[in-house]
Amino acid sequence: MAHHGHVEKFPEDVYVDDQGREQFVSPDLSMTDVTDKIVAPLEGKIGIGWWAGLLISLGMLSMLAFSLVTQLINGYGQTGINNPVGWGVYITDFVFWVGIGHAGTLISAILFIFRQKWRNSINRSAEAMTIYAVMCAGLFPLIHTGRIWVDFWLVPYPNARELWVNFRSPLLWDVFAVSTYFTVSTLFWYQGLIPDLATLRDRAKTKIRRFIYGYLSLGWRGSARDWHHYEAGYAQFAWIAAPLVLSVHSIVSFDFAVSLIPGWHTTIFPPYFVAGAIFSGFAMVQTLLIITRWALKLEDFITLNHIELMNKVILLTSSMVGYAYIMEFFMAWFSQEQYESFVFFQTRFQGPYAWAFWTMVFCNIVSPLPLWFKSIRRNLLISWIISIFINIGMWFERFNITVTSLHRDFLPSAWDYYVPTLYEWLTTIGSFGLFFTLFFIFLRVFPVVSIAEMKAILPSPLGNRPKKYKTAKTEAEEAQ
Amino acid sequence: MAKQPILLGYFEDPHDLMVAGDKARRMGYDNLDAYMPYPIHGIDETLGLKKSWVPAMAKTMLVIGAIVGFAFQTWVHTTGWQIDIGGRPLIAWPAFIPITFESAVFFAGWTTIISVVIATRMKPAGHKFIDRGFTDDKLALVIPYEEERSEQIINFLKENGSYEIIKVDDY
Repeated sequence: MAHHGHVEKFPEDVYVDDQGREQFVSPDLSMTDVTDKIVAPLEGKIGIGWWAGLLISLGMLSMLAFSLVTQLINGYGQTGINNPVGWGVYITDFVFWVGIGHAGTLISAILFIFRQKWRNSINRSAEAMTIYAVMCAGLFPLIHTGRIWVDFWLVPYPNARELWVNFRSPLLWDVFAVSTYFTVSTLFWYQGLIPDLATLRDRAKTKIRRFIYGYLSLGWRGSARDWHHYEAGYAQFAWIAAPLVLSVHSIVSFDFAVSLIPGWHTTIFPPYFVAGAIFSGFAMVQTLLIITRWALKLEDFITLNHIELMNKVILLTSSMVGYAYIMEFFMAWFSQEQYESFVFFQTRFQGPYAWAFWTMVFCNIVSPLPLWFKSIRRNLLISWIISIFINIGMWFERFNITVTSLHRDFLPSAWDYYVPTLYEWLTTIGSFGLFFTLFFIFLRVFPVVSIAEMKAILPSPLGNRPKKYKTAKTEAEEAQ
Repeated sequence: MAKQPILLGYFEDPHDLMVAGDKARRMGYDNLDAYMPYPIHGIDETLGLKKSWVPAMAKTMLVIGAIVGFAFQTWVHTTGWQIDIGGRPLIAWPAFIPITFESAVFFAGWTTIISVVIATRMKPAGHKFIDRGFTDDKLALVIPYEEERSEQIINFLKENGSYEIIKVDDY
């Protein structure tokens, strides 16, 4: 990482206000500085790096288009799915992407409820990731059905044959959970954007910009009465999004847990999936934000403290996921259930997919261990590398759950080995293309950090006020 | 709709704005408002704003959404298309819980955003803006203009640290 040697504004000295509370923005910044700095990437020239990133993402996206078209022509035969492994990379990708989305809602809703000020500088980008990740996720069950052109059958609608969907099926719960999650996250995100879009409207120098942002900001004026309703609505959103995010991955886990397949049929799945989702989501936020803060010069807003706090969440959820892995093995042994024991002790530890299992263990449990050290938590390069490992590890966790439980069927004569085909990999890479394409466009179109929410946590909205605000360092010096 | 003209007193410091707003309320000025780039904590009480109706509306629709979700699933499985799965009950209420919940959240989410848009009278086009600085760094206290008390209001704002006072007729 080129920015590794970059001078940090907040090395060790944490800013505290006169009441000893930690501040997450530099007291040197005034309200205008905040607006200028956050809006700069949207108004300035487009850097070559942005174009390069967008082009690479579009290239990856074209792989998705290619594999989707070939699937329409060739049908499901172009995948490596067999009997008994009916769920492969598509379902792995689905669970992976839904999981990535969870960090955004956790940051925007749950940290809001707990009044965590540090969420204010990362919630916008994390929520954008949520929306894009859920879009990627939603794609996979639709592809997985095999006949993409009749996917609308998933929705209950009055039809001439008087057929209805089966609400007692967990797969249908998924349809409702994911679509509700997408809708509510998007609305929540949009509400947060309105005041910032108004800022962009009021700064706009061209007519077309003013028109577009004016239209999108719905004529926001920023009067106290407007803010009053706005804040009430925002808090309301947080209160409904918090249980929603917990429900979504619980319901995704029901796809597995409600079935009778050994290795899937366990009560630990909902909390285990939710913890894993937050774990992978935070890793993805870390991966993207470490680069974004450097590329867009957002070090004033996304400080090393933010990186460290996210690393703490990663460390906690890594431990929870590790606990769940151990507990699965413990229950397999404790129950003395022969099929359950077989799955864990024969096919995961050793078996043909042991490589996937050990990759998962290394990436999710071993690789985050250095984060126990504060210096590592505040080291951008190592944090970034660890976040990449976690992204890989969490993909393998889902692969491991989906495939290893299926490939050894109850009858040994039905056993088989599943190898994903090139088309499945192209679809997977293509979904990353979709995700990054949307993210790159987001960086140019909307403020990456919430402008209004940053102003609300400024230590001194008028700019530098050395008398009132001290750093921990100066305080220590004074004490001597 | 003709509106009552207003007097706008600009403030530099949010704290001064709060103090002035508080005094104005105590002095008996009605329909106070303010313009600000971010929600100043506690300004709603300072200006004496009524509790927002948005959350109550959202909660009502949360309950209605749950009822609609559950009722629809029940209707589908008892009337719309009965499927007997191994003799299990048609109204399998535990299996209906996830979609009942999602339906409640879906209703509440849409209600929240629509309520906020209605409550703040937002619309896509046709607005008049008093000052483009209100979305950047300007703060102003709004006191409704009254012919006979105008002198008194202007003096009040000046005394409390307002650096500029303007009268707005059309906004």
